[in-house]
Amino acid sequence: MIFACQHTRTSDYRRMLGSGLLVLLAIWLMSANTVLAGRPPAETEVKAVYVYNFASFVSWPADSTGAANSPFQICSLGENPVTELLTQVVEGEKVHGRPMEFHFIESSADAAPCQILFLATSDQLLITQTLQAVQTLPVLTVCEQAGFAQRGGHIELRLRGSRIHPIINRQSVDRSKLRISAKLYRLATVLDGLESTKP
Amino acid sequence: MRSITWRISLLSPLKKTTLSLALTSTLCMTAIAGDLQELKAMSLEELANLEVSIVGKQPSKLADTAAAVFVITSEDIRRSTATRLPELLRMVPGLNVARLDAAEWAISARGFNNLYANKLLVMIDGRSVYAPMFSGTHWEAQDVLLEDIERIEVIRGPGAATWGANAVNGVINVITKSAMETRSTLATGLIGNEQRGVWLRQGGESAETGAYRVYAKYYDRDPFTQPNGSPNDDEWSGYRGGFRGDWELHNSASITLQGDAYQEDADQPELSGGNLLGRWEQPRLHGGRDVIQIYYDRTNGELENIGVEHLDTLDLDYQHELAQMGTHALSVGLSYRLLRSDFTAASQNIIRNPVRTSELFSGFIQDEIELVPDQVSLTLGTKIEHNDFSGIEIQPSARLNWQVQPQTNLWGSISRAVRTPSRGEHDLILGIPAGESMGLPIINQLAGDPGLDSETLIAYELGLRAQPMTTLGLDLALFYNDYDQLATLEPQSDIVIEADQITTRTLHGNNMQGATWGLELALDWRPQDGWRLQAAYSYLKMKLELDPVSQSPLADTAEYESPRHQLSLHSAFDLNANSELDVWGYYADYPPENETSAYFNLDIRLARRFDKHFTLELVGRNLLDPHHSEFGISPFADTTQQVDREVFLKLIWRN
Repeated sequence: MIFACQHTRTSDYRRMLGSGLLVLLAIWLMSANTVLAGRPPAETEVKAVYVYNFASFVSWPADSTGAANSPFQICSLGENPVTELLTQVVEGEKVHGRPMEFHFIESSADAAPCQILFLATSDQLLITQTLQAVQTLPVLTVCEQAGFAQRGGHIELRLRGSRIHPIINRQSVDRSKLRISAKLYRLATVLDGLESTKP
Repeated sequence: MRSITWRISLLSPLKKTTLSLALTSTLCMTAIAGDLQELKAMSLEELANLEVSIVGKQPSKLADTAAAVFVITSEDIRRSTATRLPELLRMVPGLNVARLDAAEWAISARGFNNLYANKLLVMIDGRSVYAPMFSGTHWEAQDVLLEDIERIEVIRGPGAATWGANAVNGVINVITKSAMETRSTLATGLIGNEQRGVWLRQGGESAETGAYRVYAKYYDRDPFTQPNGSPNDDEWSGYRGGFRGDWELHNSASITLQGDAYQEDADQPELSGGNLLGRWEQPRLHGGRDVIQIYYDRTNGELENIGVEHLDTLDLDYQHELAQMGTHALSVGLSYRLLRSDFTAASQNIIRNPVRTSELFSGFIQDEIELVPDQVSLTLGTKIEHNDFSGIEIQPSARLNWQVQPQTNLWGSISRAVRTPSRGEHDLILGIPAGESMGLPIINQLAGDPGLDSETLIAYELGLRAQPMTTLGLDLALFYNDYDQLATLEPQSDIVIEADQITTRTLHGNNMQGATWGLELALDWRPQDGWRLQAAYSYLKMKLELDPVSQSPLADTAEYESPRHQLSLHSAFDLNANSELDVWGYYADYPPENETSAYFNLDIRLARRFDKHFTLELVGRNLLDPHHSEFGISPFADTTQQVDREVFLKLIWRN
């Protein structure tokens, strides 16, 4: 049809030129260049650093933390991307002169020696059981799950918009004989109403 | 109707979190150490004000799902050479994606693929997009900005216990990103020798605890080539726009509102429409959750030689997840759907009930029982529905999940599913030209039958998910599908000779049964930093037989219309900090009776990021052959079109 007549040399040259340009373009795209400027921090990184900060902005009852030089313990029940970072975050750090340590525990029964307990789980039953087990212990409970603070957890790290926002249940904190610095309260959403941790 | 995300979390709300399976694990971020030090040095106020990049929703729960699930992540999408939704689906094992012409795809899972493949349920953000007139999906009209897709979840096999009927061979759910994650500007221009487009998205914050985005898109593409070399008349252009808003309420509830409007002109068909969807989600104490969703959809379709339809859909959905009680985790759902189809038949066709309103009531109940804590769970569920085409349908399923080791999962399931008759199969009488005789045209009347029954399936599935090495993930699924009452076309023997035409008749029937079986394997391997290899292989064998009463000529064709072997490969290689090279290969091999020859596609993508804002991509598709065909003769297409080799440039600007 009409198209057959147009297979002239002009279209051959055009095709060659097109392919040539494509090859040049490909080579240009592959060439190395300066590394990109910084990217925003990941939510997991910011959450891990929040947990690290809580050690400085929360006070534990004087008799609960063992000897003056004993390690400050951050524990985790369960594993997730945030806990993967916690080991790095606390490495070599000290708080109130005590070396910071991070390790995993197998069950809430092992939570007593911990100062901070991070619940890296979405298992609702486990969360309820753990909160019940530690509710009178001076252990600061932290979790990312929505509704954690409402259910009696101490601090919930919520993603709001694209910022990490802490939600604190004041009555739970008081019940565990912990004291949170006013600086932290000011930044957080504070829940005063109590939800019992009874199932 | 309901999004798979809810299902995934339902299937295992109570497992202890385990490390997510390598299939979608994040690459080790060696650059982290320096950033963490910076973060630690910040004050609390600075930390609280930092904007973070959001880690995608964990697919880790997939490790516990007793079904053949594959998730296409936003990273897979970013590195693909696809410009439309159907093209993304090739990387899923078990899905057959065949391009019929410039605008039309035949997509199915585990067999029975043709233009109106009717055994797949497709949803976008929980809104069902299948066309009730044919029980199939108009893929030309389903488009989202690919950059705004969070993930696509594909479940092969019946998802019938918690979705609608017609989820017989699988469910595809396209989930777009929350507006919270798209609070920026995105502008993309696409120009190539076959297709072009431009799309723009603008997002921002709303009311302190929310976000919104709006988008607009224009796209067009050239026609394909016919086997004789001349262009076909299937050029295609379309435009669309839409929005999405997400807000968080003070009591942990969240609200979503979204809508789209579109016009797609693909010569045949012409489709336009719009939709509006709202969803309210409230987590309850102790882990329960309530979700309410309502949507309205309007689809206008003009199909040459068939007719024009205006379809209104109103859907209400309620779902409740109860917190775990002892070893049980219960969830229930109720749904109501109202459809109004206003159909004007083309001159040679007849429609009974041109305006037909139908209602669909359905409910489901599901219990996940922990037989051995953290190891073995049994999920029993059923869906019951009442529809205006086949009455009451019950679709039960039983699934067993055994977590052999933390990274190894074995699962099995037995389910029943049905494919209810479509409006076309009940009400439409098509006049199909069938040649000439004695100087008179022969018209074959294909008559719908209100007495047509549903097709049924009993599916037996077995699967294994494992991570043999930290850098290698494996997902294997085996299935045996036992079908009954499959739809057939029964030519009748009576002939009516009139002055101007000869009329023959064909009726719809349910006179075929059979079985299909096969396996699907997905592999995910990271040989080194900056290089990832993915492979998806599927094998399918079909054996169909007609009942003795049947006169249908179709049993044979269905048996070999789908490929016997399919292989999809993807090599994602980071050339350096700013450049990426992606190579996509796809191989399909048909049974010997099918005329389509085996073909191997090769697509290449070269991408370079220039600064924080600007990215350039050079993409070549179907590089190995100037033209090839992907599908045999379809009953709804005149000839087989050929897919062309093409190249395009994509410019992406982000803020």
